[in-house]
Amino acid sequence: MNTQEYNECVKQHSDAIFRFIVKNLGDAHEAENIVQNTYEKLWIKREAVHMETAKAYLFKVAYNNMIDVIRKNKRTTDLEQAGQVEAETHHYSDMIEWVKKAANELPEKQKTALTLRDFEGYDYKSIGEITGMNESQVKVNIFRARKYIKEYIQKLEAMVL
Amino acid sequence: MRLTKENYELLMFDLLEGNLSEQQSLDLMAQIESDEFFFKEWKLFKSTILVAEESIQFEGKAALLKEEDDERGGFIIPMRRLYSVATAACIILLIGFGIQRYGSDEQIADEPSSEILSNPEKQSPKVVNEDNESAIIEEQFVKQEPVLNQNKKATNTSVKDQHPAPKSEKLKVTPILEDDEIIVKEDLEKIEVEENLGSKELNRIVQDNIDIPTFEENENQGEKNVDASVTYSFTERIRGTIANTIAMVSNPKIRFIPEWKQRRINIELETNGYLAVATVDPFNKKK
Repeated sequence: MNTQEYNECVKQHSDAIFRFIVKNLGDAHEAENIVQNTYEKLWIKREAVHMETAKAYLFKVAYNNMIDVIRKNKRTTDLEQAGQVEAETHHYSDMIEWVKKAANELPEKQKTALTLRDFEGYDYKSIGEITGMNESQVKVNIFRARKYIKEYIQKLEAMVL
Repeated sequence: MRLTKENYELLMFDLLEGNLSEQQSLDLMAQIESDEFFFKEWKLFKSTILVAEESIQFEGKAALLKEEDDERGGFIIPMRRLYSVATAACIILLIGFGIQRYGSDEQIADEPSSEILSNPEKQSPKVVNEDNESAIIEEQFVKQEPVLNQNKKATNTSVKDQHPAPKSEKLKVTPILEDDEIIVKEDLEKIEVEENLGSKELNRIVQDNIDIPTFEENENQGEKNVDASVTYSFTERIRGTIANTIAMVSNPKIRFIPEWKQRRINIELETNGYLAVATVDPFNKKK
């Protein structure tokens, strides 16, 4: 990959990676750091990364970075989120907001698989390559994620109606 | 493929995911539309598709773009949280080394040796101007004659060149001084560092980018000469610490704030809005 191709990767994929991380991490500032780190790594490895595989490479690096951050912040996040879910549900009257809220509560693997699937349209195999899961695990995680969101919406609908 | 209350979730999931053939999809849709419960469930399933918010955009694209000139390397510093303790320790070690050399010069200024007194031309002017302190350090490094080293047999094992030890008179123009300049200037040279590198690899990267001179201590020399020397192992430790620091901080800015009267120097390292301050007090620790 030459400089021009690298720059093309920045233009084409940085928004998508940023959205993917923001969605999964819920922290725009941290997401910016991760995107920057990801592209720095791409720049270092540019000679070994081909343009065709660059997007998957970027997502994989970003994902690994994100996992590191999640692990680092896990305890804090757990504490901050505890008890907030029930208190906030009544603010969400819009279906999209409900889905967002439900997606935010998914376990990390489910959330990652689902966002890669829905945001980027990746197939199970590609998601597996990024996340280190096999195809079956990816499918199961996406299924559980959708089921959770569906049931979450059902519960909220029941509360509102 | 019959839709039942036991299997409808799996089948609707496959339908939503596009895992079914066209015919299977049509059959399933027909069953869904003919049953109120399934239709309602299908609507809920469809709503689980996340929609990317295009309004969320990465604002830092411009900073990531590279010029053609960047091909030759450099300019990569991963953004990291501040490792202030490690950084401060590194800077102390680093400056400790520099100051040891500088210290001999400072001693000349404060306590001129008989040699200097006998040869006033060798004595650099001691300027205490707090507005230009960094420049002073640099000037001292570059211009002052390392008089105390003149009788010392120094072995320069500067990493890049591995050239033999310069005579003491040459110290002011060797790469050592260039390194000092790198260290004291506001923005450090940025070095490509991958994550999770071992210390050896980090060492190598630093060796390729920063020359840190090494002197062998000559035990036969007097105390004054020991002041201006540093053992090989000590330098290796400095180098390793620098490597780790470079790998951990981003956009480092270093300021040297000498307090000449107290014979010490404060070093501030700033990165991403964090500030670490270390005070080096080398002259009082000299033996």
